[in-house]
Amino acid sequence: MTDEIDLVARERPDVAPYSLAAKAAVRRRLADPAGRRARPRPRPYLFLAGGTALLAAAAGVVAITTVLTEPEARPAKVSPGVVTLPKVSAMSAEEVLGRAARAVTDLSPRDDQFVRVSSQTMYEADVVGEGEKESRYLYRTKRTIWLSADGTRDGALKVEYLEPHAYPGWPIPPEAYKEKGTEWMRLPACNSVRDTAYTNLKKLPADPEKMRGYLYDRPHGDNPPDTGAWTAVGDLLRETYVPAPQRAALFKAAATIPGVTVTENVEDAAGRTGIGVGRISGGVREEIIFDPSTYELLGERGIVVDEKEAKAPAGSLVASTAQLEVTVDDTAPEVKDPDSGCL
Amino acid sequence: MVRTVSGDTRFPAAAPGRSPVGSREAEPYGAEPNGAGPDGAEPSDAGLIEASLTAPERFAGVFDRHADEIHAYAGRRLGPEHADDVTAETFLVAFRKRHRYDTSRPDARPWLYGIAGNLISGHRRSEVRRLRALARAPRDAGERGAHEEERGAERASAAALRPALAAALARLSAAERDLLLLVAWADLSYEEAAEALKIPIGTVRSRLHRVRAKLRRHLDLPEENV
Repeated sequence: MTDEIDLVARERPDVAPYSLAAKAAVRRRLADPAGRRARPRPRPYLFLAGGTALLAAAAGVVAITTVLTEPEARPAKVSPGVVTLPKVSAMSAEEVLGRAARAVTDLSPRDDQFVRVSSQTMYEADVVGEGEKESRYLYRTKRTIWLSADGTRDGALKVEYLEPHAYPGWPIPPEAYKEKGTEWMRLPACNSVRDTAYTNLKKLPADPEKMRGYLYDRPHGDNPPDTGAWTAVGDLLRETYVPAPQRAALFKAAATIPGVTVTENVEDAAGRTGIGVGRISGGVREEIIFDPSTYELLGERGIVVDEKEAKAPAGSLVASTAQLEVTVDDTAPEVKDPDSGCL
Repeated sequence: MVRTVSGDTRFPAAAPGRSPVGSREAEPYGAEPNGAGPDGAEPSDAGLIEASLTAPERFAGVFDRHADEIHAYAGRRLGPEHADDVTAETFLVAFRKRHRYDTSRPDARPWLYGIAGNLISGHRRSEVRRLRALARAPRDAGERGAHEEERGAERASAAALRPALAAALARLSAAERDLLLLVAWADLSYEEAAEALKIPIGTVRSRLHRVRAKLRRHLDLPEENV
């Protein structure tokens, strides 16, 4: 009696063994935190089916890309880059976030529409070149992202690279100038709806206490729970549109996270002054910035408060963003992008 | 040259492959290794994966255990030229998704094959092209006997399949081929295949039933032999 499946099994093709060299290379990448995350360019946005939500929701603050080594003559610039250290305000976080909760307006995109967010960002980049020489700089971009409200349609991302800034006390490495011009990317939906798709955000609790539970339930790895919860707040707000009831609940829940305090006269990446609500983690105060009169969200900022813990001079600005516009579009630009795809 | 980006947690990743959770510091390498059984027995895959959440280097243990079989499977499906890449990608993806692993499942093979399968799907067109090419290469028994040495070399380099079988595989749907080959070439049980493909066990049974019928037809197997 022939079973067709056995027949296929018997004709299992022979294959060459996994070469020790190739194996060792992968093992090295897995064992070494830097190599593990390295992925050759250009493939910056490989989406994992079912893993998109992970990327979106993960509170990761470290990501790596591989850049080509090709030294370029550029004058080294060193700037002090230190801003005034934040002074904790007498205003309570509860008060500011309460006002922010009351200030929310609503866009109500339809399922077939796109949320479009334009922002300006500055984040730290560490470059480790040959010979283990480390350099740091702050890379800056202007971004516009189109994300399908119900997560079922392909989105788009436009990134315009801006002149890098010096990391306080460090010369700008030549690699910092490699990324320039404007890049368009397609963001494929891949049969997997992001946690931060509008329709998913709409399902989040509108009750502050339940929202607080949600924030504390997010994976936080080896970070303390309060840090994880604060990170989850930022993750929900970044390049998303949180519906009014959920946003109000989110701000009220955020005010209950231990360690959250207010600083006044905080500047966002666009130079707008606002009120910063934040908490210290890893020697860095991570703030969400609100407009002082309308309590609308302006942006985010990370500022070093503990030199030792953050391994950077106190007062250094290590992250700065500004959310410039959030709106609804009927369509997303169509982008031809052979590098994007689903796994 | 490696560039690390800190603080950029926008969607999608400014750079791919972010660490699942925000730790500003390097990975906690000093972390206590754990995940071994209470009596020091070999930890299960689930134990290693759990341990790797705080001690990421422990994940290499999962690689050591299963790299060869994932590599062999990728090579059988796509040919030797893709095996290294698919294997590397499978474990790097698995590493990034490890905090979602259901630790109630001690054996990680179905999960790893599921990830490898998704990656292989990305090469679907080249897999079908390859199967069709193999199907077009007629090699009768006499010829094979005469060139045993040559054939051995060819098998090793091209993961050769009998043309009729290659043709039959090429004619299955992608979902049918995925399931059949997980069972036939990766030795997954029906339950494990269901887990890898994230489909109900009933679907596994009915799909395999369909696959059997198709193979019987395409391979010209006599009905009564079944």
